[in-house]
Amino acid sequence: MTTSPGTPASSPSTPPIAPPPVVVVAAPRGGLELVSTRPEGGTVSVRDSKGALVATLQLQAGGRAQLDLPPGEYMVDDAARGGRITLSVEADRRARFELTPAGARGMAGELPSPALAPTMEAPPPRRWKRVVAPVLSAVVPGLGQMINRQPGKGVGILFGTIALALGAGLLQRTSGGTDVSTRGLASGSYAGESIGAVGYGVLSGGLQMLYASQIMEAYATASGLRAPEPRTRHRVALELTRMATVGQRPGDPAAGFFADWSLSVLGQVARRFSVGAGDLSVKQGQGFTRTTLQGGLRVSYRALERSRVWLGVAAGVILQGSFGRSPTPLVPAGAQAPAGQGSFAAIPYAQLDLRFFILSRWSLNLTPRISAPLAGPRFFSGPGLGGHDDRAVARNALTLELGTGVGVYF
Amino acid sequence: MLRRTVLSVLSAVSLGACVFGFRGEANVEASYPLTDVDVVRVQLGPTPLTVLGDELAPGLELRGAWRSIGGSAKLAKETALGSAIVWAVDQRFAELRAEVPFKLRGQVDFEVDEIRLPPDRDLELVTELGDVYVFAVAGNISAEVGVGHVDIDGGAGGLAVHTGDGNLHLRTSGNLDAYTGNGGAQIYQTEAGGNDIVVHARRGDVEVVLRSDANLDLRLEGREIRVHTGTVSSVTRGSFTREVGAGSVKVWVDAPAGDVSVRLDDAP
Repeated sequence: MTTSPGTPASSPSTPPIAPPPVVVVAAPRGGLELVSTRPEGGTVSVRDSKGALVATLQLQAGGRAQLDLPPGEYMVDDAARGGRITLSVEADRRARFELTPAGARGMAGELPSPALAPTMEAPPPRRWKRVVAPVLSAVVPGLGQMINRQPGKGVGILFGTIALALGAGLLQRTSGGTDVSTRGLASGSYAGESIGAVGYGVLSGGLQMLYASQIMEAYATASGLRAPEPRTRHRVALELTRMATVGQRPGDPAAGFFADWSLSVLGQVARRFSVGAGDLSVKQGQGFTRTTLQGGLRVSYRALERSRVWLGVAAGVILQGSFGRSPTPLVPAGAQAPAGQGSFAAIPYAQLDLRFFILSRWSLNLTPRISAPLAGPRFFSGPGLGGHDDRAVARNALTLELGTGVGVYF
Repeated sequence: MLRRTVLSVLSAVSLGACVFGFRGEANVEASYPLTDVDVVRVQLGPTPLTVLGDELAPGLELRGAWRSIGGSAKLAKETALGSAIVWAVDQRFAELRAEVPFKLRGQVDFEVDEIRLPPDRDLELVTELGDVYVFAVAGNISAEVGVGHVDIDGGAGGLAVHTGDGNLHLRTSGNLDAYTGNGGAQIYQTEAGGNDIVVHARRGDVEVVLRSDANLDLRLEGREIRVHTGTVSSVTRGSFTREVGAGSVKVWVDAPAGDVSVRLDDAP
């Protein structure tokens, strides 16, 4: 057996380090090639078919080593994540074990590659692009991708954004204006109004997610980041979320789109467990005649962590206080302004938390939630679609919502 | 398997995000005296308004319903009954308004079916959302509409109409001042004519039908302008100005994004 200089077989407790990017081995044809494309690298142990330790190596990001082994079955362990792959090494064939961001994978029976030689490194990404690409994508969706020499993707994002915006705008238009002013026209079909509101919610939510994701993607590409490493050990998470649902209205139209924008700050108090303040927001009603202050407590548990995806559950309660004043009557002359009034609601909820990572610290969030306001009505952000009145869910009304947003982890 | 389950749940919730609730209704029929009242202001929230002048009406007669939502049938009914119609009188002025408690906002609306009142009263209508229809009210009329079409036949004492989004269909023998932010306007002089007509239509066509072409003061602006009366005939673009006789009858139309047509009513 031969190993690369400086990487002899050793005990697992003191793994030697293979310097990146390439460890050149004076290797005969065939054997076992060990590669890491995982950003943080990892420790790899190789055992023979009897379980005897053959070699332990510390591979750094981009590192590569090759072992010349007698033909036989070998078990290769990913010590960092606990995976094991058994590979068959043949005399005139090459077996390959690779640490990837998603885990580990192995291949056997390949023809030997040309003699390993130091490979040409890709030119480092230009630093100015790391700033300019996401900024341009924020200004004109897809432009950052074009700067990153991905014109097809950029154009696709641009047209996708335009299509979603146009679709949402058209649905908003048909759900407002004189279409809803004429009794029996728009309101003739509750299902039609609901479908219009659902369509608006889906398109505008999709637009929001596409916009956020393409900015992240522009940064990732400009920085040469191939796979994110979600911060499972973060301390604090900030989330900006739009919870949305299709709600009932008392008059015409009978259904409307209800949205609730809020900010959440959660601290990870134990592995996978987070606790913090959720659904923080200030809302104004039509004509600033109502102000609503909202905040709450949330506990969440991250049940599943895959390479780019987290899935968790959460529960909490929103506390909402609203106050306002009705306008002073014009008749009789000199009538006193009405006294201020207020209402309070507690809104318990449970939700699924789905997080998709494009960058290690940033996620796209999708959050289905079930809730019900107790003690009082729940007011939503601003006047709703059409801008004609307050949007409120009545006391005790069971509500299914869908949240879309972004999260950042520190 | 997990991926499919998650996607299925997300898809279902995406398309099924909704509020489960109940609806309630409380009918209202009321009559309010108009003794010594000349002017009636109606502001009942976002509702269509139908107002009819009726010689036989003893006062203002209101017919409509509170429509509400709630987390249960009982709560929805309570919400419908929790608001009030207020009638306030101050000398010659009276106001009919809907008062909704703060905690019921967004959960209850008053919807007018019909209002009847003696035709000689002046009328001021305010609604944020809903079409306005007024017929046979001879006093002066003003309508302030957020979104809604306006159809008025009457207003001999004068007519002032403003809608943010809606078409105007107005027939009057009184002086008229009308505005629509998005929609067209059809204006008809009635009786002998000779009343002023001032119309602004930001995005829509304007058609004016006159009963008399004497003493006209024509100031018209629009994409395409067609004037055909006994004393003036013209087809032009942009703007058109002409005075006939003393020029004491204003016909001023501003329709920057629409066509303007002024013609004489050929009906007897």
